[in-house]
Formats: sequence, structure tokens, C-alpha cells
Amino acid sequence: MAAIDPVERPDAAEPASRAPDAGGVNAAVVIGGFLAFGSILLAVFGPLIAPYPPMDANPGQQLLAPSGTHWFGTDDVGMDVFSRVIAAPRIDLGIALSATVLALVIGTAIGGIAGYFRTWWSEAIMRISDLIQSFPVFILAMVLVTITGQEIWIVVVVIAFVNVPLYVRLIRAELLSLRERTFVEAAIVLGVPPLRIIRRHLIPNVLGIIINQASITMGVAMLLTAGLSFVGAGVRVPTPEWGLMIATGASSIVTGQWWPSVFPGIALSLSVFGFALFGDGVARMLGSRERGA
Amino acid sequence: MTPADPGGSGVAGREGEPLLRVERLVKHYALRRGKKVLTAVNDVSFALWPGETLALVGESGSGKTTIGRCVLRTIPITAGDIWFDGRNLTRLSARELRPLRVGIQAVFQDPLDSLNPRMRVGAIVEEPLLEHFRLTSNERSEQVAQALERVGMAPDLLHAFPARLTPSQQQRVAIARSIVCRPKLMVLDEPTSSLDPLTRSEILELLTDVQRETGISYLLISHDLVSVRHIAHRIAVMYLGEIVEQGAIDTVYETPSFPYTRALLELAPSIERRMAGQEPEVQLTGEIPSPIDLPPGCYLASRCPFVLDECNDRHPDLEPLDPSHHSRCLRETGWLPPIAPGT
Repeated sequence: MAAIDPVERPDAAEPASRAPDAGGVNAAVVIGGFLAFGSILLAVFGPLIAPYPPMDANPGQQLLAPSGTHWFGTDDVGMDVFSRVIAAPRIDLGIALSATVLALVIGTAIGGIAGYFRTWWSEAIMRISDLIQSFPVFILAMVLVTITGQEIWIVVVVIAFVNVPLYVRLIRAELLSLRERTFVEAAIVLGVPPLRIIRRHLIPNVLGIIINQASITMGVAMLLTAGLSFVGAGVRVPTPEWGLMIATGASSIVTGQWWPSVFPGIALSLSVFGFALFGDGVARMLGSRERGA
Repeated sequence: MTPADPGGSGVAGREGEPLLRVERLVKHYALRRGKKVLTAVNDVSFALWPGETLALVGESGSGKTTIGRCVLRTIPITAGDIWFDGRNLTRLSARELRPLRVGIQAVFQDPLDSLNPRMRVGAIVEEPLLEHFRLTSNERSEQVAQALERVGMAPDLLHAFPARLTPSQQQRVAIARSIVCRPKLMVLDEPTSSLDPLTRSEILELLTDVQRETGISYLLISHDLVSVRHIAHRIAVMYLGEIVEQGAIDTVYETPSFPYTRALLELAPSIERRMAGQEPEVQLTGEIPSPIDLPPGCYLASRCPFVLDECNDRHPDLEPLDPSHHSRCLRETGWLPPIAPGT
């Protein structure tokens, strides 16, 4: 028995040592997924289920405290804060998602090419990325939106633009090691053209990393959208948008009416947190699957 | 031996043009520090005929894998020519080369690393067909199924990912991917060295069967002298980037002429010799010289037990001993004592 015990113990210990990690991954995916999915549901259905029209000012009912009729109160022009908070994801998520997808597609394409080819122009791409990244993201976005115009699509393009270098660097760094693997040499020997090697053999192998980065970008893009509106460089009043609501509500805080800005603030935090958590959890699950676990 | 006829005179009974002719191939690697170069392949010439297996053997760093990569044209070459099926591969651009790649395939040392972890077995084997032939989806599935059956893979593994397969199955998938478009030449870069002995003999048997059926030529890169004897027809022994001895497999194994070949063969595992309690007769001493500062004379001079004075000054040429056997030793032919029995 004594001789068997030490042999059996590592076997028994292994599932136990893995369990907390797997549980953590699941919790992250579940909680993050719940919050992110909730935000997406609101983006789709929010304006439809809002109890009051989110853009209707009501002059007689300014700055009412939260109550049974106005759950989150009303703001300084009498708009229902609850209706605006649940209607806002359509704008916030819409901008953030479009910007993320745009940044991801462009950044992955450029990063893929810069990671596969090692020529002077792939070096040049990296130096340009460095240059863009050397500016503070928010300041750069603010300046770009201000000089190009305050349209929603411009906000999308600008947020995508400031995030592209992140993807370029990330994908290139991954590809530099990945392209040394034998299956890439095998693909060259098979006569697969370079662009198809990048698309078929390299990018699918960094998908987990891309998804993880996309969820981070999603959060960053939402913060940027809200931040731009907050400083007056993003969408304009009376569009229901969390950052804008925080900004317009901020003036009321000093007089004790905290609800017009605190509720959108909480909503923004939960949504950003949810996407970050979900992306991280999914990336870890993909990573463990790749290792054959 | 003239450069224009490399190794050609070494083979009796070959007819017509060789399938592959490597002429005076040189591969240098520039080193970061200073202006020195590392000579990985040094003026190597050989030829390979249809249906034949030529083994390139030597230690790690002898340049054999580099030659394989040059033939596959996955690295730029410094000098020399590679003729395949009447075309000079060294004169072609990457784009011009791509359609010809259907004729030259490869199997690599690490089977798992040579398969894309995100692709299923079926897609991996299908890929060369997609690149080189216009086939319907049904025709492709049929070809894939045939290739997988040929390498002895169960059809239900078609949708498996490589990580789920055993090393033997992984290497079979790699072979199926290579034979699916019926190449004329296959570069086998240590195809069995990461496999266990049983699997190794299965894979070697599979490769010989495929050769018998299709008349494919193999350029086998290996340091496993036991495997080499089983499947190669001719052998070229590499030392510090050059061929030091070349000839028909039995001739070289039975009457090795270059001392390095002798030493390699005596180091190869032989149970019979071990049981007879025999010590290797030819043992090399010292370290292999650096490929950055190559000695002026024979590269083996510093380690050779039979060294002569002139070995240190004059770099020997690859001279014919008989039409099917070339060696780079300055000593008289047949000077070395015959090899001990039981190899």
C-alpha cells in the first residue's frame, strides 16, 4: 500500500489543482458574458422597451428624484434618466463595436502582412505605428474628431484609427514566431501564395489573441466614445449616450441631484467591465483548448 | 570529376537525365559581427534519378538540412544551380516557382509542428489539391480519401485535429499531404527521427511501398544510419558542408574509404558488435572545426587518426575510387582496413 500511495497521489492531485483555474475561467465568462450580453440586448431592444421616449424633454418635470414613475429620476430638461440609460447602448455599443471591428480588420490585415514579410516597408509600417501610438489616445482622438467634424461615423473612424496600431503590433509580434513553425514552411513547399498563408495558416492561429484584444478594445472604445462626448467632441445633445449624460448631469451634482450622471456612470462601468471579463475568459478557454486540455 | 557531371559517373546503369541535379551549391550565412560568413553548404554537387533514394547523412550542422531547404527553395542560395525536371530552379522567381512546387514535396522531422494546429486532417490533405488542380469538391474528397487510405489512416480521422493524433498518425497525414498531388521528388528531412523505433519502421516501410508503386525519388536527410541502409540506394556523407564520400549504399557501408565515414558507421548502434564486445576501431578525437574558420587542408585533419602531413595543407577533391564510389581522402584507395563484420 505504501508503495502504491506515492504513485497514485499525483494522479489524484491533478484534477484538484486544475479545478480552481477552470472554475475561474468559467466564472469570468459567465459574469462577463451576462453583462456584455445584457448590454447588447439593450442596444437592440433598449429604445423599444424604454418607458418614456428617451429624447423627449418635459419642461414641467426637471430634476425629479428617482421614484416609482421615474425609476432613475429625470434630468435637467425633464427627460427620463432610466429610459435614456437603457436607450444609450445602441449609440455607445454601436460606435464601439463598429470601431472595434474596423480596427480589428484593418489592424490584423496590416499586422499580418508586416509580420510575414520582412522588408523595408514592413519596418516602415511599424515605425508609423510607433508614431501613432506615441500620442495619448484620448488627446489624439479628440483632436481628430474636432478637426474632421462631429459626425457619428467620424467618431467611429477615429476610434478605430487610434486602435489599429495595437492590432498591428500584436499580430506582427505573434506572427514573427509563428512563421518559423514547420507548417508554414510546409505551406510554402506546397506552393501556397504568401497572402493565403497569412490568411489560412497564420491568422487562424492567433484568433484567441485577436478576440481577447477585441474585447479590451471594445471597453476602450466605449470609454473613448463616452469620453469624447463628455468633453463635447463626440455625439451631441439630446442623443442618449452615457458619456454625454454624465457630462450634462455633472452640473447638477453640486446641487444634490446625483441621479442624472451616476446611473449612466454605473451602466458604462458595468458594460466595459463585462466585455473585458468576457474576452479574457474566452481567450483563456481557447488557449487551454489549443494545448489539448 | 568535373562539376558539370556531379555524381553522374558515380552511378552505373542509370539511363537518361537525372530528375534532380544540384551543381556546385553554396550556402553562406552572413554573421552579424564582423564580415565573417558561416559556410553551411560548400560546393556540393549531386544528382538523383527517377525512382531512386539518395541519403544525405552527417552530424547536426553538417549542412544536410540546409541542402534540403535549398532544393525546396525555402531559403535563398548563395551560389550554384539546382536543376529539377529540366528547369533551373535557382533562376525562377517565387511566383514562377509556385506551379512547379507540385512536383517537389517534403516530409519534415517534427510531424506535429508540420501540421497547422487549426486545420483538420481532411483540410490539410486537401490543401495541395486546392492550390494546384481544378477539381470539384467530390473529386477532391475522393483524392483525399485515397491518399489517407494509402498511408493507412482510418477514414473516421478525417475531421480530427492534429493534436489529437499519435506521432505516427501525424507523420502519415504529412505523407498523405505530400503524395496527394503525386510529386516526382520528395525531400525527407529526418522523417523518422522523432518517432519511436516501431513507428519508425512502419513509416520507412510505407515510404518504400510508395516509392515502389509510384516511382517517386527521395532525397533522404538523416543521421540514422540504420534506417538509411534500409531505404536508400545511394548515400552521400556530409562533413562541414561538403560531401566527403558518395556511392552506392552497399559499397559505402561495406568498404568506407573516408575515415569520417568509417567512424560514423562504427558509432552506429549494432547489437551484434556490442555483444561481441568489439570496440570501434576508428575513433575521431577532438572537436569539429568551426564552419566560420574552415581549415585550409582536409577538414577532418585535426581529428583524423590516419592524418598525413599533406592533409593539413591541401584540400582534397572528391575523387572516384571506382565508377560508383567517390571519396575525398588523400590516402591511397583501399588503405583503410576492411570494416569489422556485423555492421
